[in-house]
Amino acid sequence: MENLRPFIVLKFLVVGLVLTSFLQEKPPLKYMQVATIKSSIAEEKSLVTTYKDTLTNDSIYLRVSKNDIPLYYYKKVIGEVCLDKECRLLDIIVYWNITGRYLGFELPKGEFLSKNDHEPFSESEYQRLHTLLADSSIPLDAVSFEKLVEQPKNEQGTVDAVSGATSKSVAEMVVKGAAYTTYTLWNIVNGPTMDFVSELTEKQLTPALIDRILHSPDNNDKLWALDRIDSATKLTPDLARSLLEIIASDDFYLGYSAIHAIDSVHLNATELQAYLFSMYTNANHSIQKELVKKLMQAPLLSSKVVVASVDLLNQLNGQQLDDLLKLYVKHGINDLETCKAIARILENENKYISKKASNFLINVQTDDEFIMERLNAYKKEKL
Amino acid sequence: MTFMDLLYGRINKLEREMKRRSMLKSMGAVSLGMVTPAFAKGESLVAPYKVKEESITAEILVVGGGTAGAIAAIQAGRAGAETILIESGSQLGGTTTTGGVAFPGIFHAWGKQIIGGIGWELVMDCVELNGDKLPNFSKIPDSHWKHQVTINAPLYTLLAEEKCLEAGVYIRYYETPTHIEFKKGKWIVETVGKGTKTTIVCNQIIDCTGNALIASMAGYDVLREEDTQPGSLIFRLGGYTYDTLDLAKIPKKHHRILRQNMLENSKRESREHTYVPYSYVYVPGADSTTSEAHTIANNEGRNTLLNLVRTLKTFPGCENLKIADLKTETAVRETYRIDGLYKMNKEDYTSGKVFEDGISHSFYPIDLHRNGKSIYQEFLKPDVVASIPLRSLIPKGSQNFLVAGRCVSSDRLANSALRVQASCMGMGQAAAIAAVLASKQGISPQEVDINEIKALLKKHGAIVPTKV
Repeated sequence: MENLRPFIVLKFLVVGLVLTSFLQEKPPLKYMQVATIKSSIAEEKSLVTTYKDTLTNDSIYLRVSKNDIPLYYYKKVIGEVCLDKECRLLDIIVYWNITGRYLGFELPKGEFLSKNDHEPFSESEYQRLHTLLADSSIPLDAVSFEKLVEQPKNEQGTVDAVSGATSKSVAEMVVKGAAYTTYTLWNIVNGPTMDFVSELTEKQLTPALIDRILHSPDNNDKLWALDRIDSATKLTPDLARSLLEIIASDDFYLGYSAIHAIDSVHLNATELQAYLFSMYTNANHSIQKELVKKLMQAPLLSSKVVVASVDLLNQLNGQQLDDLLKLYVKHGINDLETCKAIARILENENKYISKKASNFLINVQTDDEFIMERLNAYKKEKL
Repeated sequence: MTFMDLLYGRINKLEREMKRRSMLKSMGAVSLGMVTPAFAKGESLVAPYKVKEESITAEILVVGGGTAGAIAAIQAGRAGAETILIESGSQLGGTTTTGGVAFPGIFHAWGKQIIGGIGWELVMDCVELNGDKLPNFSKIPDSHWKHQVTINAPLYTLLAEEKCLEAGVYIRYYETPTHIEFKKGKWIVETVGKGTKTTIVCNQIIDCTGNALIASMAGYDVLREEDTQPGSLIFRLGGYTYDTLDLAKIPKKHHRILRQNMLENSKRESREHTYVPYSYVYVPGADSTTSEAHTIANNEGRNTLLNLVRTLKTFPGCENLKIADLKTETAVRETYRIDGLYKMNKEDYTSGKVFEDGISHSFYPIDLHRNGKSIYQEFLKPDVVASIPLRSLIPKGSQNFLVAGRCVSSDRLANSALRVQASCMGMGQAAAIAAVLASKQGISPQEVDINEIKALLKKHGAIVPTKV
């Protein structure tokens, strides 16, 4: 008996644990995507700002961090999700990132989602719903509520708006057996509120906030921020650094968008021009072209860029050379040192390259002896 | 008759003459000739029509100015080689322009650019000059075509030609080869054109006909499937609104053509900029290898379209339907392929095999249009990008010869993915670099150090596959 005591104690412990877990209230169901701005609960203020969504007339709440950084928006949704009023009432909280990107959803304690047959969603169905809501490209906004199901016609030939078999065309866009729920939620997530919250953030944008968004793990957030940089945006050192980091990344589209985000006003800063051109050598050709095009927009080309680019001239292919020579023409760069460097290219055995140099020098109309000597030799060779 | 009579008579005559001259003047230039018949004296009898015969030389001859050929010619010119480009049609761009597939792709895969160089430069120049937007390449699309870049085709024609001329390429339109011979390390190519009969002597040939025409003419083996994919005649319709059509009253088989024509994502422009308003009719067995075969393909395509338009106009909502645009000729998907030093197979493609002599990437699903009714598609797995070995561009037993474009040595399924525009552009650029180096060294492309080819390709902005 003595020997059995530990087992009895263990048995009670196990039974106790099982009972405790059974009686313990289940935590609310919450599915969240990667956030634009990472935060912990401790960093979040308990207060939220309430906005009236002018498009849907709903209340939208914004959660901010202790140091007043907007973190995410959310909205409480309570309502019907089907026409026949046989579906369970929807009670859910929908979250958006500050860029308008879908963040997630949460069901209040004890709440759950159900399907046509009132069967609760399984874990995999919640995950599927979460994935579908995050995909703004699926065309659920183009489907009418009535066309969601293959509707049987009644004796009068009119359509019954009752839950039924999901239409084949929308079957791939919805959780099986929950077309109305998916449709309703998808259109809430990707509907006017998404644009509304995005515009709310736009009104609060500062260079620091743009910079934070540029560090989001999600590329769509970065593109959202890049799209909102304009001539009025002050390129602080941190923001400029973030832009340069994106340009240097191996994602062409992000790099391309970051270059396009820079306004000609920003290029008044000669340091920024120099930084941009410093990326030229290691950038791929597609980005190189965009960098030169951007420098074309500078009010005045930095002398640092001229010096750095002249050093590269004899290593370039014909197209790269052409791009830089066009940059010089645009900014009236025709100083003697630059022209001499270009004159040396006349000796290049690639006639496509030497012709580019010749065209440039002929237009400059210099009478410098060094240049004229080479230009004449080039013309003679050509003959 | 008195003096006064005479005087009045002369005055009246003078007035009549002045009136006459004034009338003639008011009748303008046409009448001027009547007053000044000297302008008509320029007419002379011309000599009878005579075909101009001449012999010209080049380092590189590119045959075919389509998707691959235009890029190959620009690249050869930019690499400093004397280049001739002969094209049987009247403009450059081929499938992209004449054929109407004005949404080339795919240049990006899995968030990275995989095909760059001259093809991409042309596409970007088009996008910029036309004020278009690029698709979001950072986002992996749910449909591969969302990463194809819609361009203004006429602009592409102009830019491709400008870049060729700027690179010193001697373009000869309306010309086609009739005979080819390899003698003492040189190719002697006889061509005919409108009023021309030319002998072109060159060091290297790049066959960009898409049909392996020159390879076949040179005596190298070419292959063809018994049943080839259909061609497409591309057009655009107007005069109806798809959204307001009562589709229940229109036979289902016509829904696709009506919908595809209106396909656009303007509603979500900021997120997915894709605009492909076009439609096409299939042309079974379309072959562009000879004038005769291509004429048949055009006849059939146009006839099918005409009947389709007549049928569509009978449906409610389509009464005012009209043809808004029709491409010049039937675009062809599949004809002949060379039997190359290496034949790429489907497994090579779908596994993303990187070859030691890989010179360009390719990214597209296996995409076989079957019987004009369905398309067999197989998508590449995440992070997989195919690559193309130089050996697949060189016919077995050939000398100083390369191909670029859809006639690349490959099995049918691999070819169904390799044939798309960005891949053909990449091949065109790579073939040109190999040809230029071979020409300078007086050897065949297969004898050139592959690292030298890769280095020069990189220098010219191409993206060369590397083993991770």
